[in-house]
Amino acid sequence: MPCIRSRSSYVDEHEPGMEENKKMELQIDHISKSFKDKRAVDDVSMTLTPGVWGLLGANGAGKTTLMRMIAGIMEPESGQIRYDGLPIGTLKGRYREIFGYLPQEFGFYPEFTVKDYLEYAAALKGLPARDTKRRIRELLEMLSLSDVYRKRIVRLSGGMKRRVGIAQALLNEPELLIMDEPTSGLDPGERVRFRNLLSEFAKDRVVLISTHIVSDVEYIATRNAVMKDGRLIAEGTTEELVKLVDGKVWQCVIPAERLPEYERRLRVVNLRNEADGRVSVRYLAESAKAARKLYMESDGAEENAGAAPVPASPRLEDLYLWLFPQDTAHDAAGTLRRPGTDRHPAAGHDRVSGSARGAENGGGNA
Amino acid sequence: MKTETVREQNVSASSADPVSEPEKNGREAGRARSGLYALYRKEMADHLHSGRFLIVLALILLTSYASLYGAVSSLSDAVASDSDYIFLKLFTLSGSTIPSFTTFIALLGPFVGLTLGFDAINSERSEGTLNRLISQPIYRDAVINGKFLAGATIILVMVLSMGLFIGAVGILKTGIPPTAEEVGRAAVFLLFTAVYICFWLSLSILFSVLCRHAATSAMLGIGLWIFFALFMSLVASIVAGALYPLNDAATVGQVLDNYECQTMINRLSPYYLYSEAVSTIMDPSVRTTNLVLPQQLSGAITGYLSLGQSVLLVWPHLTGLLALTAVMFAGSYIGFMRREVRSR
Repeated sequence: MPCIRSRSSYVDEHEPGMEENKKMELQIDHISKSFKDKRAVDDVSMTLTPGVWGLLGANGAGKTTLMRMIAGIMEPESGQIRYDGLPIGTLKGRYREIFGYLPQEFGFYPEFTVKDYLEYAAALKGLPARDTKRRIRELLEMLSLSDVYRKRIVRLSGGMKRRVGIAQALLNEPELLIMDEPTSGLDPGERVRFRNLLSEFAKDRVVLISTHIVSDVEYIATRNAVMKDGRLIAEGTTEELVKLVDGKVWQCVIPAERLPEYERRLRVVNLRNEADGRVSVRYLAESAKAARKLYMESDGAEENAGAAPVPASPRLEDLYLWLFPQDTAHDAAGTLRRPGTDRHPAAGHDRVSGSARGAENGGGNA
Repeated sequence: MKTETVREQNVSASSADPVSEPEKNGREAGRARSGLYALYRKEMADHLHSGRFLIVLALILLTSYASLYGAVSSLSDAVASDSDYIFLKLFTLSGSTIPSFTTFIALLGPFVGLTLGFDAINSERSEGTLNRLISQPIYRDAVINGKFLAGATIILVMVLSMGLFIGAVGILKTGIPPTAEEVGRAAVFLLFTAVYICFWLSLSILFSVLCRHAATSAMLGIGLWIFFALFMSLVASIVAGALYPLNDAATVGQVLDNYECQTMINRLSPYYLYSEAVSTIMDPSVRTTNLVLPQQLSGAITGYLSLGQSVLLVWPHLTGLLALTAVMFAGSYIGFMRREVRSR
């Protein structure tokens, strides 16, 4: 059974002295970065401590740019990134040796097999030959890649390629692991396994995962940071962040034929078709008064069969949709809402949806 | 204030760290070397397994054999008039329709260099592998150094193999072993050839750093290759004609100026530099690379130059080619180090 060794055992063997006075803190101090006319990262400050950190944000929020600066691939325009008090620029190779990185867009050399690739990555990381084979074997087993060990990477599925990328990031048992959208392309089972693996891995390490799949970090993240338009707009544990939308999440059950009206008027985040033909609607609204008002307005009359809204316990996903109303609108308009039809064939299935109109009812920055 | 805080932290961190600074630096250098070595090995393997390289190698070997065949077929006629330096004639003699080996290499050598380097960096960018590569614990310049060193090694091995091939087949065909001086001249010729092709390698790497697409960098390289090989002499003659016009009433001084101007412009071309140097090294009877007036020849004894004297004649050509290679590589190095690596 493959296991994850404690970070200190690996480092002790290879870098005597590096363990002294380790706090394992990555300090991001007022860093900014612009591309032509776009401010990609704007004065972001945070201190990453051991544990899993979820970096949430919509597309274009600046997550990848921030991670690339942490990885030392890009230089910040202003501000500084320090690891245990030392600027990462001065640590040079020593920083990248304790560091694992999975980029969002990840290319492979077409002629490489999984074995070739991992051995090459191990050589670049300067792993001793005696450790390389053992570590590769462990990772292949951990990530269910043993069967494709000798296959060319270009012939693997997207999910498998992603897992090979994850394996290379974990090769040197890094104490600081940065992963940009690590779960994209993984099937649900793999995602759960990966989350568990990461939870175990992060016991005495700093792990930063960027994603816009909220469920990937909801249960495993020690702390979360939320970025919007290049700025860090919220930071805290899942429980702390969820409190930001306390009292703003509502639920009611309505007749299915009234759903288009609800979707138009309310900021719907989730729908569920009930067995009796009605639809359970979860939506966001500023306050109880606003929720009630919207309910009344959308129903039009008291005698409507719909039930009165009741507060629902908020989740991280609700916070995300509260903070990124444009995504909700986009989802509603572009993917899930079908004008003129209102079919919910699979009773009991959850689906994320939203209302463009609903955006006007909230969504201010936290 | 912030700077001071950072410095304090630096000082406190380094004083707390029991590993001494020289030891840290040594470890750092070791890491850098192992990264460079891994990259170098990977690049070498890539070249040796790539179909593209094997096709170019086959083309070069084929032309080497053809030129050798041409040289051997016309060797008996050449020996009848001058029986010295027969071994060198294998490299410089051309057949009735086939150019000599040195001419072939001057024309096709750049192709090898361009093939090895035209997509060195931009393909890594477009395939998204550069991102991961530079996030590994290696110095960033190891990427470009590794690529250049691997390409240069391949060129050296290839040139040496070609030289040995021509020499071995030539000895078998003629049955005459080369003298030490001939071997020395052939070695200098191979050195020149390697430097010449390395120039094209560094130029193609520069284009691969500057251009986003491999096709663009390949076209630029091929364009320059054709320009230097075919059109540079035309340009030199036009420019010299414009600056120092030659008409029926031209004086000797004007003719000399025109010639010198043409030579100067031509020598900007690596193709010309290489061809001139090689013809000097491989033909000991060449006593100068510049214009010689009849009065300078008066009293001179006809004879061959020693290897050392021939090398002295082409020393500026060698330094010129090396300088051009270094400038191109420096350009690609600076370009690569300064350019930000963005997502695909």
